[in-house]
Amino acid sequence: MTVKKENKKRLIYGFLILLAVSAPLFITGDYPRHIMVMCGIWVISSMGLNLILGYVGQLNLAHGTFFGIGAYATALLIQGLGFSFWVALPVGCLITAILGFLTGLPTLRTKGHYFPITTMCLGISIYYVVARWDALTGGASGLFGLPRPTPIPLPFGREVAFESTVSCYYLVLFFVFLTLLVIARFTRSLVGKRLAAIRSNENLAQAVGINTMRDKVIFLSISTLIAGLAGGLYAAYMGSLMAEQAHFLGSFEMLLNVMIGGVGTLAGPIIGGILLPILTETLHFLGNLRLVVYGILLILIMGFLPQGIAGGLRLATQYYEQRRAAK
Amino acid sequence: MDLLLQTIINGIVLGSVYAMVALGLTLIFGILEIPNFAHGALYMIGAYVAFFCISAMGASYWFALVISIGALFVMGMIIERFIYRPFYNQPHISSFIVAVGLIFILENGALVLWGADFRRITPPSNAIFNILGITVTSQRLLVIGFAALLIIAIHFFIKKTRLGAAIEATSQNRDGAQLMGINTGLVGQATFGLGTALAGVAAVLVAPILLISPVMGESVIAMAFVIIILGGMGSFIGAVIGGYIIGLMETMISTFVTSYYTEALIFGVLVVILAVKPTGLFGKEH
Amino acid sequence: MKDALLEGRNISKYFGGLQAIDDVSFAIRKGEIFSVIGPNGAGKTTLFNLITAFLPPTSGEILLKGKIISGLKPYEVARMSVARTFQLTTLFEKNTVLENLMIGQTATREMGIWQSLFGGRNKRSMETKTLERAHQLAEFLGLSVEEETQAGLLPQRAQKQLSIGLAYAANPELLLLDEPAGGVNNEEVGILIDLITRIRDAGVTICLIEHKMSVVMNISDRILALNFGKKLAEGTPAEVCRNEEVIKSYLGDEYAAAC
Repeated sequence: MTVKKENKKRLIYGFLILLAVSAPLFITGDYPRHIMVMCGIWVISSMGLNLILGYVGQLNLAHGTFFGIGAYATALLIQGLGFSFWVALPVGCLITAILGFLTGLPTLRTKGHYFPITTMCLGISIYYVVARWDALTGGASGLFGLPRPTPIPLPFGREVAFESTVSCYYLVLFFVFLTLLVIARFTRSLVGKRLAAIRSNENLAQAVGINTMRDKVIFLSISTLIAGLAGGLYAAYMGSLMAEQAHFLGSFEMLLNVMIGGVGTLAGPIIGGILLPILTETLHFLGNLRLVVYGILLILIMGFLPQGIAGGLRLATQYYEQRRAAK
Repeated sequence: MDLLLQTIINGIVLGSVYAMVALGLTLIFGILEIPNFAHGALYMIGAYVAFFCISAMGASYWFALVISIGALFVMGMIIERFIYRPFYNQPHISSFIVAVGLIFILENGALVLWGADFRRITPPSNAIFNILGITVTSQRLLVIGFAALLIIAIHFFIKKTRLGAAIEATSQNRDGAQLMGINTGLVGQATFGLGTALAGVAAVLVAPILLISPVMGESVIAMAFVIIILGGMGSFIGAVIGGYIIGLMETMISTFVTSYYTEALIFGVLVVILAVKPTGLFGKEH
Repeated sequence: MKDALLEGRNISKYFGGLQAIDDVSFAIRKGEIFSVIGPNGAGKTTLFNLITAFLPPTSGEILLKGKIISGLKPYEVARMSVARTFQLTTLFEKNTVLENLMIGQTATREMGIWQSLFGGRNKRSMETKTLERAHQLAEFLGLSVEEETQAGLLPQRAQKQLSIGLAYAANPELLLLDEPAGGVNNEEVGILIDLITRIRDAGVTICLIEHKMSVVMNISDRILALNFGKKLAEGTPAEVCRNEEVIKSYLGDEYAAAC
């Protein structure tokens, strides 16, 4: 890439980061700010799904369930064991990662169709467990009364508290940047090329010495960890949880975000994770008809623009650059 | 003892439903090369079509059944041709994602049209029979009998008729079948229609016993997947036998062990078996 | 055999009732070009699959430098310096030529996951070295011009070259090539033969499946002839093409005359 193009890209990224950081300044009102926090949480979860789907090439239909597991794990650690949020969140993430690892071991061994099917079955049965295990999860009514994260002490007796929506927005934004950074590090390195190889042709990947099973399981665990992170943030921000949060409908919604935003790109889950929740809010009057529209949209995207919006943007810029070069 | 007999009868009823659904799924699997994720949603639509006929048009149960079969057959054909076929040349994961979109459309379509509340279909007959000392409703007997007849009929259809042979050929080797002059496009569509209609029959038969809701297909499809994975994808016998076995297992576990974690237990069995024998019990690599 | 790089001892492979390989023993010496010939269905690709652990043998053993490797996983065999190509040209189609050649080096130079996240200088040095070698390989293959082209968009001959280069990228001791000249016209065959001999000259032992007899007789040091999964003959080209059974089942009299 030419230096000029690199600088242009850096400028755009810088501007976007500035926009994200300063958003609360021009988005006022409790409800829009609440949407911003939720978008951040969905973006994180979508990035997790994009990692396993777009880069490793495996469709984890239990992704939403891992989100729910992370949410419940964090919540129970805070409420049941009295941990502070700052301990409960990493532990919750670890639990989700371990469960992802255990899920991957038997299900990633076979090639082809089994992984989406078994993860869907897993998602359904774990949902039923969560919805019915009253003693642990509060069953259908769920958990509530979760406190916001405890304030972070700063020098000179001041502190960062998380009672306001805006402060939660910055907390979530921090994790968005962190997750983005981690995923970018992976995918832009030689590891990312290895994943592309596994996604492209697993037999050939094995033939060049790649331990495909190990990489698949590790990245599944990382992707479920990210889902658990989003779940834990959700639990602490919302203060209450219901079994619905572990329903595999959540997986479908994240799938929608990723595919429409642009699967296999860094920007895709961010675009999808912001666009679709906002769309859902603005189309609220349609009720469940929205979801019918989403289903149609998903099929259309698969058919006509499989690289999603991010891919479409890339094609558009390529087209314009070719036209400019031709002049 | 009575409880055991009752449970067994219920198990066979549930098993009949599962067997029909799994059989339909297997037929479609032969054509699509992946199991149709949206099969459970279509099963649900079958029940709602019948419900609509009975409640809005005042039709009889049997008429509604026939309409439902026809509607689902046509839907299956349309879905194969316009929704799945464009993606045959792409990696399988594309078809999975498309199926998710289809589920979105069907489940929420039903939600919009009929709401989330449970609906009931009254059975054609309220007669009760006394078998071996326990009471069995006529609907239960209807499910068991109808399913058995249907499965046998399909077996003969596949083995003894020309269309059945064409279906078998197309599902085993699409290109080869095409070279033999079989219109694989039409056969594929017909098979899809047939498999989908089977699910519809199962739904309408069981609707008077269980209740109808937009999400009724979800647990059924999960079990159907467990069945065909355990029975070996593409195996007719595996789907049927597996259906009855899982149906019995599920009711036995629900009644005598725990009704809370039945699905999780059955699923756990699936995972263990897959870990040991990745091609399923009657495994047939496709 | 004492100085054998790869040895197969009494290998058999059954698929259900079908016997694909029947009690075949052979040995490949270090530094030679060893060809496997036989009609379609004779078991040649199956033999490759057995050697590279894509299939387990039903009975018998495969030894690499005296150590048994049958029973390992394919990537483990690859890491023991055994590389292969596939009969249908197999590449990472959506990746560029350069990326393919970088991925191919995984067997000898693999970045750890922790390293990709936290590695500083080490990570960068590994990436630089991998990229450099990929450039060198592209030049060695004669594909420098097409470095940034997607592998799937290359013409057939270039794809064949790249698939060989992909296998060679990890510096294997033994390179198995499954019909490297398949589907390539006679002019371009020369380019591929040149590539193969240059790789051999770099010290790699080569095992070849090939139908084009001109290629086989020209460059092979020794040949293994199979039919119906059984070994017909093993020896120098001169020996093998005088073997009556080989002539009867495969070569035909014209080739026998050409020996």
